[in-house]
Amino acid sequence: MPIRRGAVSCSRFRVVGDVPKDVRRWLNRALTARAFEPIDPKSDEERAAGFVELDDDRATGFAAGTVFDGGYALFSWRVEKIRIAGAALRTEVTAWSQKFEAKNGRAPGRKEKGDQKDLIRKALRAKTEPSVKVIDVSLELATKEVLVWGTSRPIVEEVQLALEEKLEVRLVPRVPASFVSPTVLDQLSPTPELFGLELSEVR
Amino acid sequence: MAARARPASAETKFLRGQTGVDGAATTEKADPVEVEQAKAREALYRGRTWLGREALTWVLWRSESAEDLCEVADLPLKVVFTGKLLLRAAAGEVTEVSVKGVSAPYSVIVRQSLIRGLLVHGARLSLEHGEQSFEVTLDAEAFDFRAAKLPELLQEEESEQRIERLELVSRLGTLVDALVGEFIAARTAPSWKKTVVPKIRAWLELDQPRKANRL
Repeated sequence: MPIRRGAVSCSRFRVVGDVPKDVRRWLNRALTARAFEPIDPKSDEERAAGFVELDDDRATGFAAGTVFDGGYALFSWRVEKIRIAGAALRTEVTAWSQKFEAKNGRAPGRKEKGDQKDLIRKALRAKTEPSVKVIDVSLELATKEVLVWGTSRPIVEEVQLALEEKLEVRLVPRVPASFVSPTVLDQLSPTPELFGLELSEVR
Repeated sequence: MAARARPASAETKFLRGQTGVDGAATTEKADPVEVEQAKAREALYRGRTWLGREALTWVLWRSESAEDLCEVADLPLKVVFTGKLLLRAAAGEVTEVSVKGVSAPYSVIVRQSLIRGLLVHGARLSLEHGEQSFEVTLDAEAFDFRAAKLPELLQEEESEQRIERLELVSRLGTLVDALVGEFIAARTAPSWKKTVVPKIRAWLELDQPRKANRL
């Protein structure tokens, strides 16, 4: 787990918006509302994502004792994916087609082949274990700084969106532009003397 | 029986809009140079990456002198660029340059690249604050912390180590924020164009062969 050991890689955000006084309840509600639900083996879902506890990446109780430590709220974002390899599917379909032809003296029709492909896909899916990725998240309660302990941009953005939606706040990335007021920022443009070009050429 | 596809006649191609009245193709293949330049420009403006590039370039310039960059919590903050440095441009023949070596970030090659409009896009920084040393890789677009190294932990209990690590990452955040804050103060001051930029240009042109000074 990156929070506990190893080199640190994380994206930083500052919470902007109204944070209720009862932070524990506010967080518990948000995490529960977007808690992880495993992929239903009977469904066609290929991906599931949601919040889990930091110390147990299958638990979604979010009791205060499991979320809060020191001045931090700690939890994780779990992503499960089931991916059936195209090559495995093709091999199975080809084997079935050959058996079908040997038995019936003709190649299967397009619809027959399509139906069988769906059945094989479902059978392979039931046998395939999902791949699991867990990204830790920390919120420093005093500074309202959120760290998403991962480097995959799509997953970091997914966590950002989920938190923004469920906590009803904005998560502003700690980039240089966030240090400047919007009015001043609008007046800034790249320094032509540094970029070595006239601005019109760059734009 | 399935019909075998035949090549479309000249008239069919014209009616489909694939060719013009002169029989030449209506859609031209995208010029790879133009595609590359468009991508470089898009990358420069996406999320105001240009401000991040200016910030990292300013820190590189400031860090070359032995002076402290700023003070954080009454302690001096020293910054040194170490190892790999990535430079990117929004236009020109070369849109990316990567250099590697302990003192590569301060080499003449890097300043030659900077003078041609390539700015620092990614860098590994070593930060010394009091008795604590940190290392972190930053990129101009997201300013994420990558492969950050923290000072040695003092706590022995695992639960306490976790909080200590979080506090050290928070400290690193404070230091990086202080650097960015210093840059923003300089960047938004009237002296940026009058004083700071000419000083950076003078630093870039130091020890350069005459031809390299062209923009």
